[in-house]
Amino acid sequence: MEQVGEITFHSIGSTTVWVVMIVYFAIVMLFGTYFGRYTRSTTDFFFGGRRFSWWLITMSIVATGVGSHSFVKYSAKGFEHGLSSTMTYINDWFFVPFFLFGWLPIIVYSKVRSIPEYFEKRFSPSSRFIATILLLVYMIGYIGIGFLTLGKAMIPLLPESFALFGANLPVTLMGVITVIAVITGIYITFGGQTAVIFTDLMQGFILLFAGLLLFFFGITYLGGFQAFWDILPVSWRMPLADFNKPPSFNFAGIFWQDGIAGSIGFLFMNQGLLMRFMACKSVDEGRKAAAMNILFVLPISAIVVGNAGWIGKAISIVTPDIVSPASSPDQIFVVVASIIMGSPVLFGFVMAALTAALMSTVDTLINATSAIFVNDVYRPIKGFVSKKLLNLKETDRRELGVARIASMGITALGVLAVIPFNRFPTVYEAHGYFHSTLTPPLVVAIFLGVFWKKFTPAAVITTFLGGVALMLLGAQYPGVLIAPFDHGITLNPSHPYTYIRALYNLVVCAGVAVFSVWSGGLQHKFVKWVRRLPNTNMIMAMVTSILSIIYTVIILSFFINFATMTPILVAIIFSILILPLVVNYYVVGYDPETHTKGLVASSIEDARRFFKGSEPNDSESEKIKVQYKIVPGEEDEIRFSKADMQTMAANPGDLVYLCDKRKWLGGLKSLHSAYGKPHDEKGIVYINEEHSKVGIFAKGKILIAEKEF
Amino acid sequence: MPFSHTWLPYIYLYGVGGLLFGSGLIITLKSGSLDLKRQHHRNWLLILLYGFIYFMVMHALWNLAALEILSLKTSVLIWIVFMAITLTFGYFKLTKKARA
Repeated sequence: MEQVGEITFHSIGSTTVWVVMIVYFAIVMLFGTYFGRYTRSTTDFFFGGRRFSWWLITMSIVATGVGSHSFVKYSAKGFEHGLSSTMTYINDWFFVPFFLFGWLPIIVYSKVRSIPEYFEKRFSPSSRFIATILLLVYMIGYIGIGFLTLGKAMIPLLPESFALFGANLPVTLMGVITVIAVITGIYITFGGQTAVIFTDLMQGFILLFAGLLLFFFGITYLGGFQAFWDILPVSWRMPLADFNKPPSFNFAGIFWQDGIAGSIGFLFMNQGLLMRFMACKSVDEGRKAAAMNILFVLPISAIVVGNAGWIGKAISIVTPDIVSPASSPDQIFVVVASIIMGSPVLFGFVMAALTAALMSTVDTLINATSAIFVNDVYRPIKGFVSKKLLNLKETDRRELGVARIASMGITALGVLAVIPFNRFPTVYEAHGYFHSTLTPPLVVAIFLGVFWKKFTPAAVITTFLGGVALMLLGAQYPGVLIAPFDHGITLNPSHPYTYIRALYNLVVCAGVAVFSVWSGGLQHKFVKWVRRLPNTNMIMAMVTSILSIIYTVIILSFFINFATMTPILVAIIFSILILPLVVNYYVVGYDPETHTKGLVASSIEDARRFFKGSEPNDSESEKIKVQYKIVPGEEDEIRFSKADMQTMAANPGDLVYLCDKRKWLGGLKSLHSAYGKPHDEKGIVYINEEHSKVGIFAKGKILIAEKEF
Repeated sequence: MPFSHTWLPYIYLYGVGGLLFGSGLIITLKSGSLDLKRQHHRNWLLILLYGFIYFMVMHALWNLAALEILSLKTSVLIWIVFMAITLTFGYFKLTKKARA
């Protein structure tokens, strides 16, 4: 949606620009296809075989994080509000302790493949079902935002219409997005996670380079950094926005929407990002990747993604005839790049880097969403419908096929998700609203699930349903329900409380969660009493029916608005009181001890034990250099000499990581296995044929072996 | 420049953010997932604290430069000195054990 009086652009790109972009895309796709050959199983397709070094994952995250609509949306906010566009990139450290020493080790060691699977292990299958729905909506929405940004980035390069077989076809946003979606689907469908990681690695470097190059050209264009700094008004130089104004960009709202809900959402429930960390060779490498990314890469990225807007603002002050202050914010990146880069080759390169990075984000999300589909929709349904047992290879082959078809379907849904987001003035606001609205229930559920042992299935399901119901009511009556949390932010009737609604949503979800846990004792007493009644099943069936009616009414009232706030609020409170009783009645077999073992932060040692299958060996050890020898055998264990085992302080059964010595490969040629019985050939490791295929080891190359635990 | 655009967001960011960060440290320490008996977990604790101070100093210097309390050059210079000292200290601290 364009704002009134906004200047929009078309046909900025020359033929050279298009040629450069097509060549760039061809190279990226060839690169992805080349690394796609390393995909041998669904584990490789989704997780890249858990083998990569921290630096490789750090750089590949750049393309996922930075590529994600950032150039367009942060340039837009940089153009409208100045350097405070960086604040969302520099507020992610607060949740790092929770992530590094809570969620990351749990997801790796508990061997869950997706977030909903965690919900089943930690709570119950019904929790998994609801989490799957919420997560799929979140991921598809995210893909929609990516496509919307891609479309908005491409439109200024294209003519307003073009002629085909005598017909004049207008270039529309949805048309452009559909074409992009088809191209995006190609290498993700045939490549998999290894292809995505390596494509993103290349693009991570190129993106940073292209963004900094743009900044350099912009600063040069304006006469140096001091000149640029002096041109900007003081309020535009500030690193943080004004506390509570304007409604479209204010500190308090963005702190809760991005710094809290967004940061937890990005670190804890972005399956695409989690899969990157899970592709690291160890938990500690994942920690390094996350820390390096947030400490050093994100601040640089903040400059990379926003600088076109700042430069555009400075140019609009000095020479408003070149860049009008009324330019469309979402187009400012393209406009500024075309002005300051001078050469069409360089402009084409920057545009190619931008669009390819956006595609990286989208393809990572598509890959992640198809992982959720296979794991949390296909497998449970298949298990329910067909009892036919297939061997591991056949199962893997079928699931790989399903994953590829799912990728295509998800791409199509992502395109459809663009429609509601396009109603916001800028991509930034669409994304802010999306984060504020969709992340809180899952964020609260994951967070409390990991850090609060007392959090039960009844509490998590009530958080999901009761929390969402209160969120819907808040969206309907923002002036009454969200206003108490507004920090003085003015209500904009067309987009009420785009950001600060995140605080209301978090509070209501957390409030419902705490109430459900707090009243757990009473709930159990009530369920025990109900079970003693003669017609228990009928009573509970009636209560369940009443609950279903209440939730149907709540949803209908959100869309049709047929009731006032009070009766709906009373109905929601009633449902929050009753729902835990129903869940406690129907969900049987939940044991707080077994369902939290290895799945909460206080039992990470149990998770390590589960991961290894025996007691971890944490004795101090050294890495050794070895050469490999292929020996017959099918066991998944590799054998070292007694002397080497001693140096590594390892025992048979301990976990070992074997990797090509060349560090620049980042762990591409490596494997995980367990130590077998020792032999007497010092400096030689015995591996079997399958190990050599999985590790992709080159003949004669030295390998490094290290004990995991 | 109104206080609501200068230091209020800064105080709020590191006040509320600091409470969340501190509670993260306490919860992970109490749960034992951040286990200070392990050398590399002690290193991680230092990195976590460093990260918090790193962002706090970065934003403070930026604010001072934007408000022209410090010149841009002085702010950048202080930032470089801060980075140099902390990274050198961190390098020696983190690699002390390996060198021993």
